[in-house]
Amino acid sequence: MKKLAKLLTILVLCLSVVLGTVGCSCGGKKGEKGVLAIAAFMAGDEDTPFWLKDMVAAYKQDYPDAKIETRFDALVRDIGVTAYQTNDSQYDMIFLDGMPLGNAVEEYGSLYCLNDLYNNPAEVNGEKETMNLSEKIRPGLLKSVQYGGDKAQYKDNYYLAPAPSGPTSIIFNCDAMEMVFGEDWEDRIPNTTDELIKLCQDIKTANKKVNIAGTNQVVRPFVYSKALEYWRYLYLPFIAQYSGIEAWERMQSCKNDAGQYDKNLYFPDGKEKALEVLYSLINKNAGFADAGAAGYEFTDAQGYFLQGRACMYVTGSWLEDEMSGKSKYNPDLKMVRVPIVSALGADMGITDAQLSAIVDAIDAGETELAGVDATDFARVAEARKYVYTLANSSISFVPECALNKDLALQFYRYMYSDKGLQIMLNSGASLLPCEMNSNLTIPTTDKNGQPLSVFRQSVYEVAFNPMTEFMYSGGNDPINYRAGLAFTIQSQGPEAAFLQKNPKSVSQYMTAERGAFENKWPQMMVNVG
Amino acid sequence: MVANDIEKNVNEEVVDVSVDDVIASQTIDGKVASAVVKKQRRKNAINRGIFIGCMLSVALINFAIFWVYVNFNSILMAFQTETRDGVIWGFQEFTKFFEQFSNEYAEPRLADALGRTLILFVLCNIVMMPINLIITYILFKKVPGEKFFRVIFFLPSIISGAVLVGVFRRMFAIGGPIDALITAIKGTGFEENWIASNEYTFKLVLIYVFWTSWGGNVVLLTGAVYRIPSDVLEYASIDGVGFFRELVQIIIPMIWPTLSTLLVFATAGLFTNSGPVLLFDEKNQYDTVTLGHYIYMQVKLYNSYNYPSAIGLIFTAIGFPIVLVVKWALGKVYEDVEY
Repeated sequence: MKKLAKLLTILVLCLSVVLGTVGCSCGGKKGEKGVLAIAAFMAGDEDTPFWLKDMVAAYKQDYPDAKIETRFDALVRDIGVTAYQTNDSQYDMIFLDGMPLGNAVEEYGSLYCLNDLYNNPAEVNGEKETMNLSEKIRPGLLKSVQYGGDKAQYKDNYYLAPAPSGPTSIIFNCDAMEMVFGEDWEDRIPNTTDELIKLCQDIKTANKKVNIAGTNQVVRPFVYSKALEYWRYLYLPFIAQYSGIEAWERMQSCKNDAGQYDKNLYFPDGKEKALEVLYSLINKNAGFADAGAAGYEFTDAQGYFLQGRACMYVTGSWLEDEMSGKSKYNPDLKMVRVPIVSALGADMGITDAQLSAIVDAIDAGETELAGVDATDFARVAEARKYVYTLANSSISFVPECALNKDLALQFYRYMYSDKGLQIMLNSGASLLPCEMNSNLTIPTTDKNGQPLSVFRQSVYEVAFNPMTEFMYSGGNDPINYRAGLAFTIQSQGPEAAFLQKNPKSVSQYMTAERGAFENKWPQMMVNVG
Repeated sequence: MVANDIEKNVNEEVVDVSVDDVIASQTIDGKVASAVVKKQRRKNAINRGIFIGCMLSVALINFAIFWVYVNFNSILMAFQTETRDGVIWGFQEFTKFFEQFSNEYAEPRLADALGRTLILFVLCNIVMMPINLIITYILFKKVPGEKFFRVIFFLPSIISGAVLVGVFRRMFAIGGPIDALITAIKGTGFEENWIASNEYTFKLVLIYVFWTSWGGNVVLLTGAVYRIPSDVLEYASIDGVGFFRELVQIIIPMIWPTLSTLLVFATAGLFTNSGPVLLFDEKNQYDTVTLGHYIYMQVKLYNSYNYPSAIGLIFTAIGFPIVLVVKWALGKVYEDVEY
């Protein structure tokens, strides 16, 4: 009996060791051959509208024999990270809100190469379109799904597939604005940054109050949260407006036209101009937001915005869906284009009023304005095009270990077909991974057949305006994923620096930034390799 | 006679041999019996080895991979620098450390991180240890509500740090209870948002650490204090020893082994006092970075492994002799007391 007990104990211990080892080497749960497993990061709850739900439903109708398992929730971000870091996943397609393509390819070899997808057209039930996907996907997005490093074996390979997204910009609470300025508040929508600052001052001076749960709250120009990077959706376009989109793109990689790294490219002159506007908006003395805003959770800030405690909030087209059902306040919201940086007018030697007039003319579809030099007009028109988006981080991939790569490719081909793109549009997407074409129709009602909300209409006006060109940040150059190049190289970004009681001036910030950048540059070059 | 000898031998040396085996061996002569015992002993030794090996294998593998390998590799990495042409060996990362230590443009500055780490060390150990001791003593003296306070003081050690920091941040937010209290007293509240301030956020971390450390070592110290023989304290009481004299001249010397162990451990963690900085300032935007956070940022943001390894090695080299000196010095304060 004693011996038996000993043997059993040894057996159990051995089993635990063996099982542990097996667990480590063989990974977790595996998928099932013939069943397409899709996981997608979704920030909201299960009732949140989500384009991929509609896509899967439509796909099942067109491919009745298809078997699909889905998982849509916030934990998928972790699943995705595990998948590309360990090359182990039960899912065949994973949709995320960002991932380091270069690292995943070079260090983990965990991404399935999608060249076959991009070098063939989209199709529905065997019916192929004429254009290959590499021609159909937006060029700006195409760059971000392609390997951008220097390893010959991966050169120019495609590893990611873009998903629909939307624009980011200033969003107005129409009800709050109407309370402050009356019915004609839309006349005050700023064309230039000087007008924006003036608008903020006017809202502050008005000192209107809104009663929330029995307490009077001052209506502020802005609300923001501790996620200070949201401000970048507003001020990053100023860089492209002032210095041009090429300068903006070179800043993202610090690479000149000859393909050589140049640290001076990190400092286009528009950067300082953009920060000057930011400083005017968020420095403590301006008083354009609650003193405690930098401590708010973003959901709190959005809740306060819906309550009407602020007239403006800087975020993206997802706001309405994200806050759906989370607040009893349901004001009309309106997204507008980012104003033109007033420094551009000063640079051209025109007044801010003239700059604003040019913007009005451009928005009205004019191609010239009396008394304005054609070159100046063209420069403002160019600047007016840019709308910032996070679309290049809204991506998906097929893990190298996926069991159903063929099914995943088939699903992608459906997704990027005009039929699939229309499903995205009908689900509320405002920035498609592909350019719009004549087969696609911008919806006039929501999914339930109801008229579009004011917010959705305004998002469409920004996103589908023929003059709109989207600008993206980040990039697939090794300096981004090997050396950590980001918009700011300092741990304290400009937003936090300007919020302080004794804030740095813009020039102080830029001097510190340049010093920190030059100090880091040699190590960055080593890391880039 | 043979059987008796065998039995004696077995009882003395091989306790695992059963009596049945011994009885069975009564029928054979001395030589054979001895061989049987030796064989049995060897078998037992093998079985014991297998058993101990199995029991320890998981822990040993874990130790070998996650301690021996990781630390050994970290030491090697400190002497490696990755270049375009591959890895080169040398002291480049150490040179970089001294160049960057107080470089105005190093971002963030290592000297500042070290300063904050040392401030946290002083707070957690030099300030809080005596407070912990006094609290332990007060609770030991059975003050009214002693059990209640014991639980309350220990609560921060049980509740998740994320939850506690969340609550704490709300307390100090503009419009929060502390702000309301100050407004009620002074007429104006916080002049600055403490949870997003270069000047105040680290101070807030210190306040939090102070607040949550009241019960920190109370459990260990209470255990030590309760071991003191009651007759020693009764004797002191009869001699008219007062409250503080009893603490200083009786309690502290008698729990000195526990106290000095705590102090030695605290000194060993001199450079690892990072505090809950990540919970207060996840992106290190408000001048809160400590050494641990600095190293974390080097890896996370810049994919740098060699430089953090060198930093770790340098501070280990500084910390190790300090620990030895402190241990020696503490051993000189009081002689060990056995009771």
